[in-house]
Amino acid sequence: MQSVLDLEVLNELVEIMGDDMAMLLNSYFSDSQNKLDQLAKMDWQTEQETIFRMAHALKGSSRNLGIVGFSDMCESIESQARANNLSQNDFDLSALNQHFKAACAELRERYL
Amino acid sequence: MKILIADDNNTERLILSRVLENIGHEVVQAEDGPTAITQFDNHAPDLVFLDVLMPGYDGYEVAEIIIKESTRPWFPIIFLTSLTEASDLAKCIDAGGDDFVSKPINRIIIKAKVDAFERIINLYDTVAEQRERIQFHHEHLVQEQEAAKKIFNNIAHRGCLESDNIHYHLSPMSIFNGDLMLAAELPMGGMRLMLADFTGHGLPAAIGALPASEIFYGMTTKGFSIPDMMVEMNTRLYNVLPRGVFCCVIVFDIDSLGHRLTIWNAGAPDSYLIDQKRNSIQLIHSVHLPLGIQSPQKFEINCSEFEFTEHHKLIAVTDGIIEATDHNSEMFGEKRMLECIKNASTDMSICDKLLSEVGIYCGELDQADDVSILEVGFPGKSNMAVTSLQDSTVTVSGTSDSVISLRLRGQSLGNFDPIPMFLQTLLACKELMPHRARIFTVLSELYNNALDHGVLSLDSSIKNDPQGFAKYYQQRAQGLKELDVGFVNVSVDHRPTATGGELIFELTDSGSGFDVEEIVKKENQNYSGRGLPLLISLCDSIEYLEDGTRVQAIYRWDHDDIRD
Amino acid sequence: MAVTSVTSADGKSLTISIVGRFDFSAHQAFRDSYEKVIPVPGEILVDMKETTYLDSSALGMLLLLRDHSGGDSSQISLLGCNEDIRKILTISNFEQLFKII
Repeated sequence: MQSVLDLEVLNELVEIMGDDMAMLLNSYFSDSQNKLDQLAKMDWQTEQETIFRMAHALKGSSRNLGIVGFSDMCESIESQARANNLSQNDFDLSALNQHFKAACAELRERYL
Repeated sequence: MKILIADDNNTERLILSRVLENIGHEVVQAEDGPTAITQFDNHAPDLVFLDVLMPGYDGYEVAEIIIKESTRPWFPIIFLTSLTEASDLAKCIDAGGDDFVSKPINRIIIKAKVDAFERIINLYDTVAEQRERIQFHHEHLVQEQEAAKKIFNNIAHRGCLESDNIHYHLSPMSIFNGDLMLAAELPMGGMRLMLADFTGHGLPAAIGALPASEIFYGMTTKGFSIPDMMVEMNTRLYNVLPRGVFCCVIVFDIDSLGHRLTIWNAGAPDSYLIDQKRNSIQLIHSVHLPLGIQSPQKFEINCSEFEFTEHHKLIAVTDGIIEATDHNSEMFGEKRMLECIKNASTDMSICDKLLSEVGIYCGELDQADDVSILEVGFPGKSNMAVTSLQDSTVTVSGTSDSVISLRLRGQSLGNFDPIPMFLQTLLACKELMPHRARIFTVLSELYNNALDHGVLSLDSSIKNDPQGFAKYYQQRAQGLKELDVGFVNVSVDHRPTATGGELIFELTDSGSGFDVEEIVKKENQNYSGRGLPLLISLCDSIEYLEDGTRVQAIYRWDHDDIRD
Repeated sequence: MAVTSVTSADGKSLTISIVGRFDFSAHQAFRDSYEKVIPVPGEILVDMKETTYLDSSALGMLLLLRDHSGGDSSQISLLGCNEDIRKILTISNFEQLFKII
């Protein structure tokens, strides 16, 4: 598995946020968990539009935090959903959640 | 700057806020389209970051709305997008965005773009402020010019320009092109006119017109000659006008009694003296620097004299007509002017003909409009009627019982014109005001006879042909210059009588006298000379004594006089 | 329109050349060409060989130059005037104030 975090991005972020890094991370954790919970309830066949938007949002914020694997997954779900091409296979929520947990763990370890 | 961020992604919004706050900007946040619009209305940000993909309104729609609603002429919109297709990026700009930033955001890029837009905003603000200042000053200027126009119209009125013998065209923008046209009746019959062209435009050009017209009207009614008036005008303008501003002028007298044109052109284009009977045109050139340049000490004026009768016309122009250009920027020029005048028939005024030719030549109306032309024919004979007294309650006043006496000798005869002074003193007696034209004429005629024919021994029959006029006045000027001894004594005795008053004019000259009877006989045939028939008609009595070197003329007036 | 000026080596004479139209737009440049020359040169030559046009504001500028250079005691010559410009100078009688070559 490739590295979970892009440290260059994170270092930048620490410089930007300063003491508020913790606040930012916690905000990210709760927001993203929220979205993942919503995704779990979606029907991959009929709600591709919504899935696209959610994946897009998750990708965006994760990238901002230098998270690599998770955001790549989100990106592929995003592009397929956008083209209305999402298959059940691609919509692998458990893998997604796994990546997310790993990323969060590492972030917590480093910055909290 | 105050910056609005509209992004539904909390993380992104937070990070971008912090980036912007770190570089000193104030941030206002919105989570979705509708909030973005409200925040925009409430906070009036200087710059807006819009996320393209938002629930509800997307970024493009928000952009459209805030642009339409905003009262500001321009504010920058930067789209936040992770879409990378060129078509998507182009859509950002098409939607009214000024730039886009790709996600994830890079703070260096953000700072660079925000700084760049800040420079543009500053530029915009500077321009807007300058435009406001210019607008303010412009309005001020327009107001000043309006006021100046009104003042100008009150003071530099047109005088007798509406007389039958005058045709003129004065450019509507004349005041502000510095063109001035003045006309006044001469106290002893005839008219004086002046066409002036002040350099420059606008207020500086118009200002010179005020002292010039004051002097013109003031001195003309008092009977001052052109040289005396122009000395005064040059001095005043020399003192008042800034260096580099001057006045080109043509000024002339038409003496209807003496059939004489006295003219002086200083710096203006040629004037044209047309003899319609003999079909000839005399060009009258500029012979002097324009007014306001020569210091009073060095100023010298020599007028030219010509015959001017019912079949003569004088055309004076400013350079507006010469310089009027056609589409090829070629000037109308003096050749064309001369041709046009030559070919003018007698049924259309030359002024109108010139105007129409210039109009055709230039093609558009506005060039021809910038033209000033004065066309003067022979004035109707002044009827010498006694006008009514304005204030009839005045009875005995001023110099009603007085003797004024002056002897001018030698060079003073050429250097001083005593008529205005006498007139002014006499007219201190207000009852004489209705008689001023007659008194002026009597005194002028008597004095000119004494000087020209008495002291200088000039023969007025020289004036009987056109060249003769110039010759006569040349001889006169020469005679005055060389005068060593010789004198004219003028005395006016004003006495009250039972019903009014009596003016006794007595003039003595150092000449050799003349045969009164012979002259009277000659003059009953044509008028040129001592004007005896006229004097006889105006005075109650006239007597020549001492071989014609002394004359006594009596003019009586009554309180209730309205003679014909 | 271009105005250039050259002072002679001994500082006693100044030549101002005007190329193109000598009108109001030359105002500032013309002034600059002589105002800062100190001491005021005894002789000034205005080279108009390449001047195509002259109007009353240019006449005004020449008067200002004359004023600056001592008024009646100034020595200013106008060189190379074309026919049209000569005509204007003649009508204005400017040969009384300037030497026209």
